[in-house]
Amino acid sequence: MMEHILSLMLLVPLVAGVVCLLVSDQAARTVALAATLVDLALGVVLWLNFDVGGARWQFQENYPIFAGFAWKLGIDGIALLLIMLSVFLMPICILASAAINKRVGEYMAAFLLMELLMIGVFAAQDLYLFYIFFEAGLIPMYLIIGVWGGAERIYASYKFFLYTLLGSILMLIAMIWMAQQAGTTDIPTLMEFDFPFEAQKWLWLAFFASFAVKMPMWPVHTWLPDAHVQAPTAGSVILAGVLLKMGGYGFIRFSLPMFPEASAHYAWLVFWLSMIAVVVTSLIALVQHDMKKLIAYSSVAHMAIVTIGLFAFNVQGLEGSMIVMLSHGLVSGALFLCVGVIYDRLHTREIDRYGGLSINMPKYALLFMLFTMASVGLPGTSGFVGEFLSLVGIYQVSSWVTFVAGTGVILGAGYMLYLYWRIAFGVQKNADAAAMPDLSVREWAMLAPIAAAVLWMGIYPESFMAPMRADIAALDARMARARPEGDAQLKLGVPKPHAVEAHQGGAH
Amino acid sequence: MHEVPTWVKWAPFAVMITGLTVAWYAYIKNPGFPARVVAAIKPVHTFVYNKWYFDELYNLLFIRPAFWLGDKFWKLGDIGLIDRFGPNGSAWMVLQGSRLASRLQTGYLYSYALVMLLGLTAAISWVLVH
Repeated sequence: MMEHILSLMLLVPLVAGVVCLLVSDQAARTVALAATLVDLALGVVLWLNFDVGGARWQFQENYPIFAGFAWKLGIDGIALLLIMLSVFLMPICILASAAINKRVGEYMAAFLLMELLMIGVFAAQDLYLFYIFFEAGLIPMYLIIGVWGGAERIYASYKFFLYTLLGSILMLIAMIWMAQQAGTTDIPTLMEFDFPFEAQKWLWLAFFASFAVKMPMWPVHTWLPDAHVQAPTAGSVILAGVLLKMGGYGFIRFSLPMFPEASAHYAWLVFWLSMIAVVVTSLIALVQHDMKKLIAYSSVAHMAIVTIGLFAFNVQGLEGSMIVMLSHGLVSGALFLCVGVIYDRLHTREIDRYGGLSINMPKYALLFMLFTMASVGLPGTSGFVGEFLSLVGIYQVSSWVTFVAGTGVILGAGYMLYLYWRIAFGVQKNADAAAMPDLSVREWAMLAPIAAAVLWMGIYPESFMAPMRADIAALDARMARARPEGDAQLKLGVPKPHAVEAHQGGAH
Repeated sequence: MHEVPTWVKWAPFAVMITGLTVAWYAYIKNPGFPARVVAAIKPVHTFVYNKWYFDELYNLLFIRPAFWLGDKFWKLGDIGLIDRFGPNGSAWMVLQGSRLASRLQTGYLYSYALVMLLGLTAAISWVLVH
């Protein structure tokens, strides 16, 4: 079973998705929950059997289909963790969909297809196979927003689709050229292939067009707030939790190892866009009246910390970016669930309609506070580990970029605490909000596992860093030849003579 | 620690004794004393009582500009610039383009014939000139 576990993880949601289309609404919910739990169990088996420090690519499968195109799967530690994130969030999304009551079977099928495609993106080792999974992910998300979304869902879903597709077309052209040039579509081989610098620059830009939109980076981020606001709760969770990570994964898997010189060449483009994003989108988050829009803008700011860390060209930056991605996947997912919990009760996302919820919903207020603090980056939560490592990484390259990225952390504290204060503290000014009941068992089952994971990652991040350590080191070695010079040239000073004497003479 | 002068070591004790004496005088011996001091140095008292107006200063320097900037970045930047000329602008272009194209498709045979004739004339004159 172990040699086909990745295919099995793809097969389970596929079969369950087809079943969901055929059975009744209630049965579809059960089937979807069961299938996602089975995939989670398979994910745990995958992690337990993953040989940390062993071969770089594990659980490989390779079945040539035609003309060089192959069903080729395999994972390294980086892909393993992102797959774990996906399978962990999926059952929670199914639980969060209790309020969906139209076309339940189709809804569950769309989510299961989404799960298949997410795992596929992280497991694919064939260039075209990756492209198919990467792009096909648009379809279920487009349907989820467009069919089960809010009032402005059509505008939001078209915006999401067109933005993302435009970038991806350029990526496809670059992929075709690469396959021609290198004579292979095998991703591990391409990661070692040296393209000429002039070609690298064009290829890098083509891939950047796709990943920057997915990430999303300023100024191609405006689809995200609309998509989040209109998507149903579970759609937002998957969008923020996993889909945004595909952009970061793309940088790690393609842009950085395949085009290291071009990555160094364009590093400042990334830094500038990320610095603008950190400051501008954080300030925009501050003035939002819509809870989901606020969290959506905060996602853009957090993803900018990821891109800054990725292009730091060192181990800390890369590790930090990965942890920020995993942490943000959990935390922003949880925050969208928190919004969903109160949206289900009052049917509004307007922050002003709430207030004083810590009085009538203390358990909710407790969990919401934990996720708020994790988003801010409080030590002991997952957010701190990632942001700290990223900033340490970028500090070796540029103190100014670090300074600007650091303001993002401060502004992050500003808008998140301001949000929490307006919702959970203060007077209970709205009678209907004051009458809302606290968390149900189902809502506990959604939020408590994420809370546990956030604390685990914050207190003992080694569990998550160990599987990817060797992969990050390999990536760092690959990029070393293009590493830009940092501006912090620290060297050990020579102490003045009398200070040396005083130090060695009488140490009190 | 050996190099610190003796008076420095005694200074905290002296400060404590002074504070104790003043507090005893103002709150036990002569409780009317604080009010008289406040009346004598009214502006200083108001300034200190309002925490040096630090909250107001902070509000003016950081909070209001941050909200103002956030509002402008959102409404002028994201909505007014990026959305207007990006996705919405390109959608508008496609719409106008297709309107123009549909206007050309009149369905009248003579207008198509006219276009063909014009094209033929253009092609022949191009060949003759070159």
